[in-house]
Amino acid sequence: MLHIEELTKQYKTDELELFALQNVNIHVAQGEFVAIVGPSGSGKSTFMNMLGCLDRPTSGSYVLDGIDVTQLKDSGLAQVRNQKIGFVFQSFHLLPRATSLRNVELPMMYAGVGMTERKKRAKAALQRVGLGQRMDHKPTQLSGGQRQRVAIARALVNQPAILLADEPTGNLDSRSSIEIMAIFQELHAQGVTILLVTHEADIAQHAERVITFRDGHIIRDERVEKRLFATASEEVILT
Amino acid sequence: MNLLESFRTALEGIGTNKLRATLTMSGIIIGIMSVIAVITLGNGSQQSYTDQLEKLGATNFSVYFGWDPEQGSKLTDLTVEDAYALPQQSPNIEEAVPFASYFGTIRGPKKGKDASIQGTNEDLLKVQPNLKIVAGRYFTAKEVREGRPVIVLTEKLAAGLFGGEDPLGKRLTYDTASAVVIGVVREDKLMFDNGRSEGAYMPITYLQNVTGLKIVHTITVKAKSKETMEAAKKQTEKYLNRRHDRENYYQIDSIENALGEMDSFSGTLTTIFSVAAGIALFVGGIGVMNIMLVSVTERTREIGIRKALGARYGDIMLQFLIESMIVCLIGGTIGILLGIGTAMFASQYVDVPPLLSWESIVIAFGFSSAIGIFFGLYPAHKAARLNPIDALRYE
Repeated sequence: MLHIEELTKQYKTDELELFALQNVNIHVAQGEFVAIVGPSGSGKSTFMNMLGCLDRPTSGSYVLDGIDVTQLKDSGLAQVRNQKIGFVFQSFHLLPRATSLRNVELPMMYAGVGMTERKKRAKAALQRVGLGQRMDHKPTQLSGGQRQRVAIARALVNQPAILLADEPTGNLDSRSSIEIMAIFQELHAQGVTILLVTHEADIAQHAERVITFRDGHIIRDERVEKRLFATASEEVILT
Repeated sequence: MNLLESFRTALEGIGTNKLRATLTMSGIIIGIMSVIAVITLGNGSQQSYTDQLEKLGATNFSVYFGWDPEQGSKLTDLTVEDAYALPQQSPNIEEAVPFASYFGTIRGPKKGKDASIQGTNEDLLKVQPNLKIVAGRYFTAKEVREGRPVIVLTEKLAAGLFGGEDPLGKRLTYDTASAVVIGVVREDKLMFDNGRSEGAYMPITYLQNVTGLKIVHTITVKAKSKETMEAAKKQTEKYLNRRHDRENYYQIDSIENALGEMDSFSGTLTTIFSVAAGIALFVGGIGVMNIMLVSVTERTREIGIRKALGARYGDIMLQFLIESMIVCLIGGTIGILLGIGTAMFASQYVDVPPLLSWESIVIAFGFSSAIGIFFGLYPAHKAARLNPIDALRYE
């Protein structure tokens, strides 16, 4: 599903050369749930940007779902982001003036899905994260947990190869965090491949595998032994 | 993303800050308004120039007795016979009509009026298409030949002398002359009124008999066509010089020349105003660009989100271009309406009919969208080439 070989990202200034990532190798199989952890400055955010095709590596190869993305031009990367990757961000990144439904429609608009089909799929995705009753609400009318669920619905709506979550619980209270993790685990159970960046150890415990970064290197890559299981509140009913 | 979606997205963008969009539009509104008003009035004055020319006879020219800078006014030696002879002298001349002008008080049965009296012949209506008989008749060749005491009044003078009464058959006196009203003519209003509109026409022969002076002040000549006009002028001058044994004595001027000066003057004014209007439009365009740049900066995060979700360079570009185009098109539409209104209002004061052409509206629309695209291009490009990571991090 995801093969990364010798991935390096180097930042050059006049005075110094800085390796944000150095010779990183990772393989993620379809259906895995991976947590990426590490202190700030460890390179995990840079790595996430590479995974999300938001930034280009200095060297190395990255093959996602059979596509060598390092060979792609900007428009090709945009298409990969649209078709192969679903993003969930710490600060939700919803369009503030658009309704939940319209926010979820957005990736399909760029994919060229017709209006009727788009509405149908957006509604289904919102129902999947338990927001069937909040389709016409704008982000400001929703709680943090609900906003993040809209973002998850938006990330899933083009049926991407991987779901990338960058500190998805960073702006949420503990109750909402557990709800979101319950959704991720449910999606994982349904076969979605998930990569999650977090600095919270207990959040990482919800994944099957934890990769630890430090100073641009992977220092640990291990299976989670005492896995935590989140239970969704009654509000969240995944179908 | 298809065009319809881009329009919807752009409209949403405009809707989020209506006051700003309105202010931006005002620049375009003023620009387009000025352009439309200037074009509409310019067209009107062009049209009224052409109309004038048609009314006065586009192929007419007049022969005057000259003005000599050393001797002062020369004496006229033109005769009624010259006018009758001219059409036989050149195949390019269709008609030639003599005029002798007098000014004074015409007295009717009840009141008198100051007026100009033109002594002329039976062919007047052929050279002056702006005259139309509305009552009675015009005088005949026989009446001219015999110097009959008949008079044809302009509608305005008839109304002044008789009020609502029928003037036909009434007797009028002018100095020692006296004549019976046989007809009334309507004189189409001219843009540059030469003072003849409150006048009357009499057989030139009768006036010459009464005054005892065989004077002809001018001869108006009608050429067969515009193409032969220059030849007709030359032949007229040559013939008159030969007949009267003169050299450089006559002054020949066409109506087109006289009006041409007015026209080129109004053309210059139109050009000046057009340039001013164009500058206003350009400034409006810069306003659009400025606001679009602000808008791109403000919506950096939105652009980042859209790019992360798969928007390509072209998608973002189109969104902002359409947005600036819509602002300009709405501004343009309002500007066109206000411009037409301004032209109509102004036309009451400058005595030029507003003439709206479809071309000018199409051009204004084309111009508005061109401005929208041109001044939206850079901001849209700036938005579209934003790096998604930087855009997402933007606070």
